[in-house]
Amino acid sequence: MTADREFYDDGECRPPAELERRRWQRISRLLRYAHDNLPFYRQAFAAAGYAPGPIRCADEFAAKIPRTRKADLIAATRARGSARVGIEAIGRNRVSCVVMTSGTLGFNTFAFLTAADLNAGNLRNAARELWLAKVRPGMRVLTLSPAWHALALLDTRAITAIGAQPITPWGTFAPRFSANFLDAVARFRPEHMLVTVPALRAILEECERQRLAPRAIFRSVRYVATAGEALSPAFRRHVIRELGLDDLFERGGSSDGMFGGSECWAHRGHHIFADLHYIEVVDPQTGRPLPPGRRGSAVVTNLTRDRSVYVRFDTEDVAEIVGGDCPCGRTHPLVELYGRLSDSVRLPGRIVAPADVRACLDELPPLMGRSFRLEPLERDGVSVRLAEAALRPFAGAGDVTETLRDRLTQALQRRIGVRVSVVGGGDGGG
Amino acid sequence: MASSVPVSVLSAASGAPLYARRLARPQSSGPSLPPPTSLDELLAWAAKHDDPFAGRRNPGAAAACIIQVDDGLPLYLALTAADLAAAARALASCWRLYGIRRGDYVLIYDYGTSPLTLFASWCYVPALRRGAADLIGAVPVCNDGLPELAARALHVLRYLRPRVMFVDRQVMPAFVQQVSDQHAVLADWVGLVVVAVDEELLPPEQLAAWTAGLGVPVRAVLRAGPALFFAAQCEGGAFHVDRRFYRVETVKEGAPRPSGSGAGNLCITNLFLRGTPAVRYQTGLSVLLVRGPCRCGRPGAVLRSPV
Ligand SMILES: [Zn+2]
Ligand SMILES: [Zn+2]
Repeated sequence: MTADREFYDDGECRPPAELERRRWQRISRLLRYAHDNLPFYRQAFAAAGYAPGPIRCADEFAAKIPRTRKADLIAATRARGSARVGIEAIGRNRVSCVVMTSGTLGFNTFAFLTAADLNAGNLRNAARELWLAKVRPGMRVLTLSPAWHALALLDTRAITAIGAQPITPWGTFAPRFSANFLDAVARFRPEHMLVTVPALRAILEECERQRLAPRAIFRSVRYVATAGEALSPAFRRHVIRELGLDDLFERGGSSDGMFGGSECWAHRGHHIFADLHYIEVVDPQTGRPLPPGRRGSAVVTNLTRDRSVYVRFDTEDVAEIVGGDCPCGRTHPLVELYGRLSDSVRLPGRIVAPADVRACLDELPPLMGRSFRLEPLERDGVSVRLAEAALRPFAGAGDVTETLRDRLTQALQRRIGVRVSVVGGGDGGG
Repeated sequence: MASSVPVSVLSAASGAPLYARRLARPQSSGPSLPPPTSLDELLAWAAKHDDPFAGRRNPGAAAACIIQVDDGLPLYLALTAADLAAAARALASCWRLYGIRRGDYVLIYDYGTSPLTLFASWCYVPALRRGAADLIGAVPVCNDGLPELAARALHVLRYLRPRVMFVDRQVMPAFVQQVSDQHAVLADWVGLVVVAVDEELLPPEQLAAWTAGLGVPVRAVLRAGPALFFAAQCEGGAFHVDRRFYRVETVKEGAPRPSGSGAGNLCITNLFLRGTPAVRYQTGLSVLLVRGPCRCGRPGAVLRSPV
C-alpha cells in the first residue's frame, strides 16, 4: 500500500449506481434475516405490518420499515433484564467482546461483536476512516482506543492494518491524562494523533499550565483527527495554528448505531461508506427522508451482520446530507453532523443545533470552547445560556462583558437568522 | 543461577543498553543474570539518556505497539507480536485460577490501556491473535477506569452477569460506595470480584471487609507494570506465580545476590518479553517467597505477605 494513493481500497470509488443497486440487495437480505432471526426486529416489523419482501428504493424503505430509537433499545434491555435485546446478528460466531454505546438518555446499551465483523466490515470501515484522515504506512500514531467504546475500539487495529505504529499512553480521554499524552508526544515524536475534542482542549490547557509552546512540543505531529463533537471553523484554525499542523480532520458517527466516518481533505462532511452503512436524514416528526441540504435526524442501517445490527436506527443526531460530488473522488455520501437533537431547538422549517452556537462562540477568543445551553425562546427564537464561568473573566468590567454579549448576539443572528437572546448565569452544559 | 532463564531472554537482554553493561561476560559456567534494577534506577536511566524505554529496548525485536507502563510514569514497553501473545497467555493463566470458563462474561473495570485490559482480548490491542478471553472462550467487556464510572460498572453487572469482575484498586472505594448507594445485591450479578493491585499486598482484613460489604468473595491480582507481571491470588490468600512466564526471587538488604526463596523485596524476571526485556526488575514490594505446593493444593511458587 503506497502512502500517496488517495483511497484505502477500490471500494471507495465504485459508481454510485452500483452502490445503490447493491444497497437494496443487501437491505432486502438483511430484512429477511432480521425477520427470521432477530426477535427485536420481528416484533417491530409485525407491529408496523411489514412482511419481508424486496425493497427497491429509499421511499419504500422509509415507508415500510419502522424506525428504532434508543428509548426502544433501553426498554428492551430493561424488559429482558439482559444486555442482549434481540438485535444480535451473531449466527454461529463466537462473541469476541461486548462494548457499550454512548450514555445518551442516561443509559448505555450494549453491542456484541465477533471476529467475523471486526476483521471484515468493521475493520475496513475503521481503516478507510483513518486513511481519510491521512494515517499512512510507517507513521507513529498516538491514540488511546478505549476498549469500552463501540467505535474507538478498532483504532489501534486499523492503524496496524494500514502499516502504521500505534503508541498508547496510559489513561482515557479525560483531562487529567493530558500530561501522559504530552509526555508521549515529546518522547516518541508521532506524526499523527487521534483524540476527542475535549481531550484536545485539555492538552492545549496542559501546555499552557506547563508553559510549553505547543508548536515546539507538537513539531513532529502533522495531522490530528478528532472525534466526539463538531469542530467550529475558528477552533479548527486555532488548533492548526497552535500545533503547526498540515491538516485537522473531524471524525463523526454514532456509537448508538455503530457507524462512523471521517472528513477527507476537502472537509465537506463525513464520508459514510455506502457499502457498509446506509444513512438517511429524516424529518424528526414525520420520519420522511429529507433531500440533501436539509437538516434532520440521522437514521442508520448497518449493511453487514456478524454483530449487533441496527436497522433504521434513529440516532437523534442533527445531520444533513451534503449534495454534489466530492473533489476527493469518493463516491460515498457526505454527511455533516451538528450535535444532539435534544440539545437543539426545533423551529418551524429549521433546526438550530449546538454546532451553530459553537461556531459563533469560538469566533470570540475569550469564549472559545466555553460551555452553553441552547433553549427555545418563545415560538420563533433561541436563547443561548452561557455558563457562569464564560463571562467571569470580565467580572468588574461590565462594559467588556456587554460588548462580548452584543457581538455574540449579532453573530448568532447573522448565522441562524432568527431572534437570539444571550444570557449568562447558567451551568452551561452544551 | 541463570539456569531457569532461557538463553533467548539473555540474548534479547544483551541487545539492550541497560543490561549489556551489567551482564557478566559469558564464562565457562554459562551466562549469569545482571544485578536487580529498581524502578528508581529505571527512571534515572530514562531521564539521563532521554530514553522512554530506560535502556531496556532490544533493537533486534520489531515492536507491534508501544504502551506506557503505568499512569504518570515516563516509562514505556515496546511489545513484539510474540510478547503480546505470551502476555495474553500469562493473563489467561490468572483468569483460569479465578475459575473463569468458556462462555463466561468478564467485566474489567480498568482503563483500556491497562495490561489487565489490553491482553484480555484480541480486539483490544493490535497484532494479538488470541487474548486471555479468546484462549479460554470467555467474553470480556471493559468499563474504563475512572471512579465516576462506578455506576456504569454496576450497570454492566446488572445486565451482563459476568462470572468475574476485575476492579482496579484505585476505583474500588467508588465502586463499593456505588453498590451501597444503589442497595445492589451483588451476589445476584457476579461470582467473584478481583481487585487489581500494583506492587502492593492488601491486608487480609481489607479483603475480608470488602467481601463482607459486597456480599461476594473478593480476591486480588498482583501487577508489576515494568515487568508486565501478573499473579493471581488463590482462595488461600497466596499469589501464584506461573513459572512458564516469570522467574521470581527475593532481594534481602545486604545480601550479595537475590535468593530463590524466603523474605525480601520481590524481584521479577519476565521470561517472555523480547522487545523490552525485564530482567531482575526489583519491586518495592516486600514478600515471602515460598516454593512447593500451596495450601490450596496447586503446585509452584507462591508469594505471601511476609508477616
Ligand atoms: Zn471527499
Ligand atoms: Zn494457593
